[in-house]
Amino acid sequence: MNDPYKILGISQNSDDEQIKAAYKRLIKDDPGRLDEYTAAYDEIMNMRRGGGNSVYAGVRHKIQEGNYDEAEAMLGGTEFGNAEWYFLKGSICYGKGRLDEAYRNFTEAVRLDPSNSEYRSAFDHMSNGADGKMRGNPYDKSDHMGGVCTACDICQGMICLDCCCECAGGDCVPCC
Amino acid sequence: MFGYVKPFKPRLMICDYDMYRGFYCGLCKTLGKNFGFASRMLLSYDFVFLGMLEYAMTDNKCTFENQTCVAHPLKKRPCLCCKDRDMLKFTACCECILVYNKYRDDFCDNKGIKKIAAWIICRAMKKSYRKAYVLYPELAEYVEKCMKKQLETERSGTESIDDASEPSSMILSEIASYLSDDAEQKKYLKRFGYLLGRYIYIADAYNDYEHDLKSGSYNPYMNMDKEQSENAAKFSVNITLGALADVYVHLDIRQFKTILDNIVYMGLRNNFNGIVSGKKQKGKE
Repeated sequence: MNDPYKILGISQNSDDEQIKAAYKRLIKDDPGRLDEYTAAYDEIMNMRRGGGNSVYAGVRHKIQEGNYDEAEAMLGGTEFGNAEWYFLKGSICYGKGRLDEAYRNFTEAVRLDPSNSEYRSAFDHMSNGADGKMRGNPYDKSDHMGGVCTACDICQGMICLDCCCECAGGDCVPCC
Repeated sequence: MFGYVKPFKPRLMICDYDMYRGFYCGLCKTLGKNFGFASRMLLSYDFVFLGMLEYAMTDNKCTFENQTCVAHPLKKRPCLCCKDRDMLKFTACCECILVYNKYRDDFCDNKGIKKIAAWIICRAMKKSYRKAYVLYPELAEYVEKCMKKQLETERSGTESIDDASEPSSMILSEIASYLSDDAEQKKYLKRFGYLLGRYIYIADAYNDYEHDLKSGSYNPYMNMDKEQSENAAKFSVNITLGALADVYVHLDIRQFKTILDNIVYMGLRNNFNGIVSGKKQKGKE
């Protein structure tokens, strides 16, 4: 099969938006080859989402099942070096609890492909942990979901109440 | 390896503190009754957390009453009632298994007075360990297997904290999996145990850094200087605690939530920070 990137006339480094734009332009200019373009477009998108027939899809599936050893063995058989490989390796390490290694791999994945939001969010999640964030922490004041009521919150509440009263014709705080 | 899982007292409510102490007391008495005096003397706070977590996963009600004990013969203190202590037997077994294995390890590793001390403790704990072994043979075997693996890893002299911490983390992972019968909760508990074990290992390794450097024994941070080891340990602890909280929110905790929250969100970090600042003070003197 021909390289889908060549069919759409784009490079492998283009991001999803560029691919979409190229695809739209091509089907407008040459509607006769619509099927060919669509197949190429779908193939690229599937590859990027880890679908299709690639080994990565299998690895992703194993990771989702929680079968990290098998996922690692499958990934070990492929040649490494691209962003997705590092991302998957990082995910396996994270699942196994090998967090330092996971962080290194996520870092590498983001460095190789800074525009990918999936890699970025995995990396950011670990970076938050490195900054001392803990999910569901009731003692963390910066986390407003924690339900801590500060003096600031009370003032804000009063101002809000006053506005509502004034709208309704009354006045709760007469000075403003 | 013990004593790193403790609550952060200044933020603990008095009622929670009493309950925590009651648990400690109940666990101590369970050990005394079933496993002998030595196991009682070596009880550490980590096992109180394990016991509380075990109860927290169930709806079993706990009642407390004021009792005296050997350590406090005159003053009565809150203590978990005898009839509510059945479940603590598992925690008590874990204590015997882990403490015995730790000191047997120490006996092999150390020289001089420490070797003798470890030998005495091993002798005293042997009977308790046998009893625990009979009750949970698979667990005891698993712990022994992991301890062997730990030794191998240390002999290999690895610098990777992931490799070094794995065997001890696996032990806690296995222990935590006993706390629930539900398949999904078991999965979460396994990860929770693993990450808690990882935290303990890192904190312990960093705590022993200077000592190991002097004596020439293995430490994952041995090839780093002081500042590097501090940064590496801080980073690893932080990402470990972040991942720990991620799985902690999935645990089906039905009681003692405030105490467990205190330990998980503040106690662990505070304990590690205590090690870091303790070293800084020592450096200034």
